[in-house]
Amino acid sequence: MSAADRRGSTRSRDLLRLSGCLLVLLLSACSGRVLRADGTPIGDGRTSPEERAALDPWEPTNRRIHNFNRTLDRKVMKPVARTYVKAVPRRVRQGVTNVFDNLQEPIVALNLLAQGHGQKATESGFRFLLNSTIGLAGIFDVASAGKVPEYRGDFGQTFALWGWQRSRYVVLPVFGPSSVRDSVARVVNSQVSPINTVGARKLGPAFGVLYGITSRAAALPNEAFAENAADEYLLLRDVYFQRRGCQIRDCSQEAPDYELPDELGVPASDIRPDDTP
Amino acid sequence: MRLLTLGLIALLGLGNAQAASERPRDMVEQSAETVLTTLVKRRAEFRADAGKLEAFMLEQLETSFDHQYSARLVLGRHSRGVDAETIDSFAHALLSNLMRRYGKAMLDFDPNVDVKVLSETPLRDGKLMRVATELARADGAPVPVDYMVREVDGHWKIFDVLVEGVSYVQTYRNQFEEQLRNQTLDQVIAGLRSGTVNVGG
Repeated sequence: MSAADRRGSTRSRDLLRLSGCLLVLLLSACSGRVLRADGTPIGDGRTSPEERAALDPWEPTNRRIHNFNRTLDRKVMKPVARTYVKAVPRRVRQGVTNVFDNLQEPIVALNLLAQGHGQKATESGFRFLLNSTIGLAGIFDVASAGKVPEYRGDFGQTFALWGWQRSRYVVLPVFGPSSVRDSVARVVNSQVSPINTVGARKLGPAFGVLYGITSRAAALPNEAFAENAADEYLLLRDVYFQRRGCQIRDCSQEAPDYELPDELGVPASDIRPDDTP
Repeated sequence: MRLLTLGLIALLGLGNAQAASERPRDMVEQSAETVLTTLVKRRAEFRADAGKLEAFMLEQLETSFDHQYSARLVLGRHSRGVDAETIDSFAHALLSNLMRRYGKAMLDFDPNVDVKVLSETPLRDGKLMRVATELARADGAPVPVDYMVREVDGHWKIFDVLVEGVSYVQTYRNQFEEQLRNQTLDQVIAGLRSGTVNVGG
């Protein structure tokens, strides 16, 4: 589960609903398939930079939302997350994160099952049982300590496996990089995830706010990542497509889309591997 | 997703690749473990002296990272007709820039990880090989870290690292593609050295 996935909160639920309505509108505009010249689908994880641009027909709007998100982050979310990290001891923060992870676990199990990974779904369900009971409502991750493996699984992956592979790029307000498919997945998740159904709805808005803060805090160590990028918007879009592509399908046995020197006609004499000054 | 820290650690997991008879998977597994162990053992020393950390990192990289090849892939079509010396300058300017900016983050990394090699796949008519590994962590799902390697004069050399599917080469290629539209390669190299040009990733 990525940091972005953990950001559902009561406070932002209204916003999410709004995005959901918008999405239904957008969806009607994106039923067409985007294909390469050779007939293979674009957006299957092997996309080249040009193809990524083709999957971002709403770039001007996306860029505006990206800028809005950056400002919101700089003024509100980041300072709050930093204060949280400073004020709350590491162990307590770990416990809080564990509780949220545990609440999301049934959704992981459900999606693993829907993707046909029966064994992994069972292990995931077992994690939830162990951590909810012996782990005191998930505060302690006793399942990991007991070597019960943790997996990732979300509705976006499931939708992709069911056939919705290509999806246009969308930058969501507050949540950031996504796609039409992953946004729909997010709405579904917000309706069924115990973080919302059990946590935020029963325990009040503070629970949701805390969830948002821990999610942002988890991303703090990656801060330098996008700093001073030539084009931060393109960097985040690029990373989103690469990462999501490989979460959706196993790309551990293929070559990325390289332009190899010999294929570009660079003479072998110019490729000197042992030349380390 | 601790992409950048993991990426750097993964990049560094490159030493000890000497014997050609060694399989790439053994080289990758062994060197990743060496780096992780060293980061734990010498943590206090590295914290006190950033220079020592940088020296260690460079030493690791020089052992079996294919700078030239990797830099050419990062430059993509812009590497056409560029001589080896310029490529070298570019490769080293980029690496130093990265280490200056991200080196410290590596020391905050939780060393309680376990490297497991999953598969080894020859690609592009056997010119390249992809070694897929998994970093198992004490907290959280395992992180996939894959290495792209090629054989050079009987040695396995790494030229790309993919953390959670995000390729170091691809990501930088797209970033520099943008910069090289408005600047010459020499300008980009000078910018990397002075720190006025930074690249995300």
